[in-house]
Amino acid sequence: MNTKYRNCYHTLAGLSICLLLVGAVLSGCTKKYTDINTSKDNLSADNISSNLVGQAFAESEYAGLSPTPSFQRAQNLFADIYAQYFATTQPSFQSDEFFEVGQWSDFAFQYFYSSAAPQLFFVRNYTRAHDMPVAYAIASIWRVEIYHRMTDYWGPIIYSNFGNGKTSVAYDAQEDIYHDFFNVLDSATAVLKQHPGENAFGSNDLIYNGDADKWLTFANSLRLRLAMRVAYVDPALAKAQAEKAVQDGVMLDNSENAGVLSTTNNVNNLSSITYHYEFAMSASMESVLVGYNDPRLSVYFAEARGGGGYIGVRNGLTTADRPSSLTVNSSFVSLRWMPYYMGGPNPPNRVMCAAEVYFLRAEGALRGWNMNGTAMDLYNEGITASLKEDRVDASDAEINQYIESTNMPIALNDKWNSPPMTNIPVKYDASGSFENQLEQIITQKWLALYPDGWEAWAERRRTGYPKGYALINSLNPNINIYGMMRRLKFTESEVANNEQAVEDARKLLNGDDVNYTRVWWDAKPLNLFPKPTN
Amino acid sequence: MKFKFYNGVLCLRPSLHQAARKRCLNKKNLLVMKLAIMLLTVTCLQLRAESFAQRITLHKSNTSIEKIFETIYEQAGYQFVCTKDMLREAKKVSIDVDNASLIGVLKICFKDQPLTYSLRDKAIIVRKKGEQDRTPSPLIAPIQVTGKVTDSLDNPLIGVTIKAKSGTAGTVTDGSGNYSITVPDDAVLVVSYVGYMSKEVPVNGRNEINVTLQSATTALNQLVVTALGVKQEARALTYSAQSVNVEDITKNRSDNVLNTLKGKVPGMAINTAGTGLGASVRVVLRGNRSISGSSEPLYVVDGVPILGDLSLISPDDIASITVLKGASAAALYGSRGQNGAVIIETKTGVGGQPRVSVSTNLTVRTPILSIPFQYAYGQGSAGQYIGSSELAWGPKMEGQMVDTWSLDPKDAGNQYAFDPQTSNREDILQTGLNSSSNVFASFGEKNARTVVGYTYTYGEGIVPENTLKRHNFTIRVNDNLFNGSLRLDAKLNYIKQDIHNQISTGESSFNPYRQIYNLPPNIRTVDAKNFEYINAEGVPTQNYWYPSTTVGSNPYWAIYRNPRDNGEERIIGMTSLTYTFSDLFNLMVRGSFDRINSTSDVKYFYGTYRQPVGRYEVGKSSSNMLYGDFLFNYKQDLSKDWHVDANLGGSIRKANNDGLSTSTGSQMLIPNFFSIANTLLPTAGYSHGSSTEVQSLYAFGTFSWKDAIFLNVAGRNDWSSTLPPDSWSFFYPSAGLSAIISDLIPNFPQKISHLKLRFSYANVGNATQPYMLTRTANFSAGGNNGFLQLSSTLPNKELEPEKTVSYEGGVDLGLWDERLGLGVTLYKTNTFNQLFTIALPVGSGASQFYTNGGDVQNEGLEILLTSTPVRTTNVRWDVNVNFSTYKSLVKEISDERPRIVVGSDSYVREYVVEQGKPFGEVFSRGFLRDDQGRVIVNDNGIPETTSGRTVPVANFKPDWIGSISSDFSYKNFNLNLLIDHRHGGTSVSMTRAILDGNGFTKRTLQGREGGLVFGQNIFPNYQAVLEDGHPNNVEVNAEQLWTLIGGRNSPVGEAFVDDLTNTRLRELSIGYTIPNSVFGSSSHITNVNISLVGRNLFFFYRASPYVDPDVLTGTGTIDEGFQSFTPPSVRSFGINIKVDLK
Repeated sequence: MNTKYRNCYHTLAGLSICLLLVGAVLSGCTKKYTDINTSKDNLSADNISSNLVGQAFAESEYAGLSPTPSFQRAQNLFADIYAQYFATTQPSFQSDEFFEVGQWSDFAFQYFYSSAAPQLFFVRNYTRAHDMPVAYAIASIWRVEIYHRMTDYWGPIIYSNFGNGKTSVAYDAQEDIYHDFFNVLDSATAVLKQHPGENAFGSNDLIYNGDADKWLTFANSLRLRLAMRVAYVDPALAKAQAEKAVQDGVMLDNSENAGVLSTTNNVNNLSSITYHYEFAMSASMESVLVGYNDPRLSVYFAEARGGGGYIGVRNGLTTADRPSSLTVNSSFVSLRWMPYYMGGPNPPNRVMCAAEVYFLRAEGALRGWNMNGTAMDLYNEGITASLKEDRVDASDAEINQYIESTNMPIALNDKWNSPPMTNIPVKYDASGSFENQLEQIITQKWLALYPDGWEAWAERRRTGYPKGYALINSLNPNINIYGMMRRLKFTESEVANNEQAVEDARKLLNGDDVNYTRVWWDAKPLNLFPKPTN
Repeated sequence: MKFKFYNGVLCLRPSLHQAARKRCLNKKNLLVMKLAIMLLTVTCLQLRAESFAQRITLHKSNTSIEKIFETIYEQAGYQFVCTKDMLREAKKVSIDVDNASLIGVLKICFKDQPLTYSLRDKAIIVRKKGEQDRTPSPLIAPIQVTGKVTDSLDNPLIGVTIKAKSGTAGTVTDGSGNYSITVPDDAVLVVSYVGYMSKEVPVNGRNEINVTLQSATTALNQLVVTALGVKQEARALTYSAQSVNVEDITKNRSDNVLNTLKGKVPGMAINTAGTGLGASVRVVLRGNRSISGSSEPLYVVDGVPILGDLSLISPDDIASITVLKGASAAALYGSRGQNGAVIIETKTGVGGQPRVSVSTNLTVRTPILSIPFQYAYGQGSAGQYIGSSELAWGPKMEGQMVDTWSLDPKDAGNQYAFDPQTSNREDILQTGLNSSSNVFASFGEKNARTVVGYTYTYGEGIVPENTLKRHNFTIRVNDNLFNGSLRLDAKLNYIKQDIHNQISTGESSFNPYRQIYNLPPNIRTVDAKNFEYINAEGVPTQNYWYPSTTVGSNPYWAIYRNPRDNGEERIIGMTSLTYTFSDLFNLMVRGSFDRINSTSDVKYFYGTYRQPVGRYEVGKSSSNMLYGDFLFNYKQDLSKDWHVDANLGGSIRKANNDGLSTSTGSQMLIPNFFSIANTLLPTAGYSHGSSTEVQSLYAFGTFSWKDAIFLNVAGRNDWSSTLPPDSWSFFYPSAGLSAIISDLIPNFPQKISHLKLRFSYANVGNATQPYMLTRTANFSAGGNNGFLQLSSTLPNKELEPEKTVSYEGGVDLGLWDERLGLGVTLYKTNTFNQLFTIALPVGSGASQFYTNGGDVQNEGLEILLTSTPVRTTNVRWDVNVNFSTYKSLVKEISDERPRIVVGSDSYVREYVVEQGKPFGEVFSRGFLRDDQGRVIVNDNGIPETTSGRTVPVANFKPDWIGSISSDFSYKNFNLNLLIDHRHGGTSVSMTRAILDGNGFTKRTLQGREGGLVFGQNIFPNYQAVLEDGHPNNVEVNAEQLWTLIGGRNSPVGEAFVDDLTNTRLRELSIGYTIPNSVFGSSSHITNVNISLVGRNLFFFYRASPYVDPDVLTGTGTIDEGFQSFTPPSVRSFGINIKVDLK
């Protein structure tokens, strides 16, 4: 073999191997690339079947009530203490001193819009596109429920423009949102009326197992709640909507109560944070429940671990007044809201109960609306419904005794020698002044709603009841200890990511973007507001 | 010393030859020097056993003598020593022999040539005819000297030239680095080798002289490993690439080899996560460029990009480290090459005599605690003692008796003296240690070499219970088959690492530093150590002053009752085959895999407040990478002056990972029985992880002219699975040009030993993460039938690859025979088309979407100054200076979002990339100011603050960084030190916000009894006014002020900014090599080196005692400058011993 030939041979061999490799790489190809770039752990949102829409609705039901990880920051540290169900014992938590910790409210806002709203948006779009009218109607009713909570917190919120996929999403004025709520309820209830006995979502509906009739009743009751919310700002609208609701049929019995099922995988909201022992029974709750010898006292709260029975804590304690011994020497929630693994029953998350509906009707009657009953009768029905709930299960005798009770809230044996929170008995005084009767109705509603601070705080802002205690200390230079947090400020992430919309939304407020600006429906004349007890 | 070798033929470069000739002429000793230079340059990595009886077969016609020499070398193992000049003058040869003798073949080759030759030992010395062979006859030499030449790592050096300083005796070392030479007993041996500093050794009548050569780091002939493992001479590089001395990184070690690069490479920023032993390290070359991706470089081991970084690699296995700092250098690596690359070559054997080296290293670690804590006031608030307080706003500690905080029933009713416990924090810490032992063996013959290495590393942290164990096992085989035409290189690394109680970071309840720093100053160590008691139910539970609190915990509980084990097992395998088809072509084919299996095991004991009844979690995950590539190389002299070296290659990279985890959930039935079955609700999760595949084809080549002008061109096309089908394929080119001015211009001033100019341009593409093209929906447990949740990231079906364009230019200068060297590099990079997420308002229905856009520009300057102030036979002193600085500018992001919050902690800081600003501005809450910039103070005397984090307060980027290193050696002693300086850069500290807010620091001592007036005696640099515009005169006390400015929930970041400037003694080592004569020639022990080493020994200057900017909370981009209860600086010092066995 001569040299030239050998060289040539080697070169050719080299080149051909090279070309083979190049070919192998090129034809190894990109055929599988689409497969490779498809996640095996997730479904594609483009291919969700109607069988899976229910699971998305279930998520929106649970997430709509701001569960953990949002619950503590969204509700417990704001509404629950502003409703004076609880007082904070953890020294570094400042919201109890009227200081809005921005990250908390930001988290609450973001959690709702990233966890509940997208699922519901998807479900509504899907059910509308696939001609599922009952499902669409139920989803629309649920949308009213969860968005009214949000607007009650902030005032203007993102509502009609949700899901636009853009870098700016405009807010709606609360007035417009409330008007739309009534419209949505109109069309949803019209659909449900046409489909009696039907079911949508089945067991994926964690409230009524898809029972459309129960959803219809709930929708009417919700209309009543919203009607009452606007009673001061638009009395005519309130009256019309409330009367329509009652006429169409609202909740009459605890079997119609709305609550989102809790399971070990989606636990009761309050029970998810109680192991921290960071709050205690409020002084207001102690004064009223102990004073009334209320059958609900031991259902709602536990005796102080350090002994001494039921002991409440004043809201707005300074850091110095919150030693760790406070958690031992005050009443915490009862076992009912302890984590299931610590023996708690993991109850459903309350959305609405029959008792609330009776109290709404009582207030309507007090306002002279046609509520199919007198204020007093409905007040007593409300108490009865509350005491008959499973969690209390009082006997008729106990109920009658309670309704007739003239017990009064008590003074507290605390560092501040706190007087009784207020001076109204359980027994209804139909001859009392309007405000007097209103205080009785709302105070009892407050007891019945427990622990739904979200609703209780809204009603306290609207009516001033329960009267509550003044704060021990306020860190907010613009709200003194007798004042009240009226809303939460637009959140930091929205200021950063949705700046123009927030700027525009501020113009929809009745004042500055601060905690003391009142939302649209918060219109009771301030001179009629009771002064919290001190 | 400049040379080039063609398989066995050592040729001096004409340029050098000329330069040498000039010098020789000056010395009027032309002939001798010429021969010396001839002898000086030798090579060959493999020698064969040979004898004169070797038979040679040659069939060549009209072939250059050079190639004939090569063939003779291949067949007979003889190397030719000559200058290139000589070969140019030689005639072509035709030869056709079978099984001829060497002498016979040489006769044919040298027939009619202007050259002649002489045979010596294993070399054939080629001379011009007429020049005298002045080799002395062995018979007249009075003494025979034998010995071994090694590099500083004790690897034998093959082909080293040994010659007598006077006279012409000379030889070269064999395949084991051994030599034998016969010289007068008073001769001085000159030992020289390519890429190494020559050494002169007086014989002084000795028969055995072992020599260690130091590598030359500044000369142009240094071989540099460049992209794809191609070794190039420094002269041919058109960009900046820097090698790091590997001796230092084994001697003065760290638990993560990347830490040992600190201060050594201009433009390289290295930060360590605050997770204690085995902490991950973040490396950024030439500044951040990726908005939401990684700006970290690619790590390449033996030519193959690996998973992750080098943290698990043993420094003992490393033969060389090269840092390719810019896109220009790393463009061939494609994706992620845009951030530069760190290239490691691991050791290969040398064959010949089996060699074993053993080394051991033991260092102790002590914390440099520098936060100024106060020890005057104790636990409580408003001046009152509160035993359950997590704050130090209580009364003065004056020995008064107070009630115990202990919950332990046996402590009930106890009181103790309220006294300062000035060492309660230090008492918790311990002296850590780090030890490592290495055995490295090399054996086999020249054509089949094997190395085996094992390293065991053990560390104990400065926090008890934090330990690290790591085993590194490596085996590598090199084999030459079929007469050396096929080369096999195969290796297997096995690494096992176990870390116990890696430090949790930030505000985690289990971060011991959070608990240690927040230890009230009155808590006695003896009390705190009683961290556990038996509760009423008979279960051991936590004893802490504020039970059930959110993040606080007894530090001892955090250390002992939340054990966490993280294990990693890693296997890296590689096989490559290189076939040489002919003189012109060779082909390399390589396959490699890298697999990491990780395990985690986390226990929360009963009584851990966040997990009150305990919890147990275990997890396993794995990452896999398969890599295959080929490289076809062609090189040829196109003419007398032109040379081409061209390559065509391709690669395929497949990566995937998965993970499985399970836990008891928040519920364990039996306290502290850590079994997954011990629950009613075990939860498990499995993730397939992600898969990616990238296929690539690339071509690159170097055209050189007269070995003085080099043109590099390269192009690469990638096909990436993560992009939309239209964008799967993308191409990017790069090019560079360099010129050795000193060789091009005749009669260049002699004192300039080299002057090189270089310029390069590169365009690098980068794909994205997988699964960005479709919106996904997650299924999770919940409700009756599960929950379905849509992903909050909107897909982008139009994604394009990211693109970095880089320009780089530089000058390299060597003066006075390389005694002084200067390298200056200027660069500019722009990263366009970045793939990042844009945050959407949540109301849009999603929280973010992927998009392309942006232009981040970095412009910088890097200077490396090398000098050798002293170089004598016994003393050598090198001083090197590093300097680097850069400007960063975010030129553009996107029309929709000129500002992106890349990340944020929940409380104090937002990491922001904003158009028109430098990269990485940190925003926080600031003091509210009026139109005139005066801080507004409310009626209570408390400054008002901005409602959001809207004030830019810090940027981590230093103004410049620099270092000075000094290597001094005197005979067998050496002293090395490295001092580095960081100038500028700021960070905002969560640690300080909380410690000040809680009253733990000296800063909070002032005004405890009142009398602080903001803007006057506190924060006096601020002008403060009341809301009515009058100067602030409202007095407050320290607690009121600091609680509102500091604390956890809404601290005013502006008040907690640290200047990060510091100067420190980064490394110090003092070593002594015991002369081998101590052991005698019959001993198995040789080359014993003992060094005392120290790392991070102390700060010459530190602007803020609160911060060591080297240690950050994490290693993400957004963690830059993030200080949230990070560990203190750690000083380490110890001893390193290395012994060779023969």
